[in-house]
Amino acid sequence: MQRRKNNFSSSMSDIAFLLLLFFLILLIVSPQLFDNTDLPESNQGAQTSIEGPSLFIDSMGKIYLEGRPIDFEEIPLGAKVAIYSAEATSYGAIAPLIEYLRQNSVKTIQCLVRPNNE
Amino acid sequence: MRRRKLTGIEPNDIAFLLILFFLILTVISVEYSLDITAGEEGISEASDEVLNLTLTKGSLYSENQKVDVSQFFSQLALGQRVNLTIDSEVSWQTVITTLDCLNQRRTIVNLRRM
Repeated sequence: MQRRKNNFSSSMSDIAFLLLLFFLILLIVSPQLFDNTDLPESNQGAQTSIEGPSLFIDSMGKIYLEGRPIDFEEIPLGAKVAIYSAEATSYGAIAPLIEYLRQNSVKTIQCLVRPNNE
Repeated sequence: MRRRKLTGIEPNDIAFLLILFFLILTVISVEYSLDITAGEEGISEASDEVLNLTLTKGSLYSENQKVDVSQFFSQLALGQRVNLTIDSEVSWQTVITTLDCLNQRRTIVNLRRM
């Protein structure tokens, strides 16, 4: 009986350890690369789950994936792509990426926004 | 009944608290997005049903005529197909605000660069 209890206790700690590893990996894989307070404000922005790659575009139009600068050819294309850009970025910096995604069968571009709390 | 030692902190407790911490952290970081349908092929400019809008720094033009933004969107037909041509100088915030207004009218938007 005592032995069974020990087994149960050790399997519980194994599960706890695996869950801990899962959340740690999740945190590392999806780093917060961008300060959300710089995102444009939107009334229509809906809560979302990011399903595809998250691209950050700086004011010069340079594209970053997970903090690493990349070229158009390196963008992992899927049905959805999320783009982060600051509110002050000019459309001219973002437009080439939108055009590239459109030409490469990306169906939905998720423009990350900050909800307007008015 | 065996009494638990008050001073002993078990690794299970620490693991549980850490799981709670990461769970809360995951829940807190909620993302919001405004989705643009990009897969559609461009809306034909020649079609009568398509409205051609031009967004420049500070102004909005409908079929090359300057419009009052505050009134324009409320009069826009629901589900209208729109070609939105945007000047490169326009800020991303202005684009998102315009898309917000168009989204409210459930328009189908095709973005273009001037």
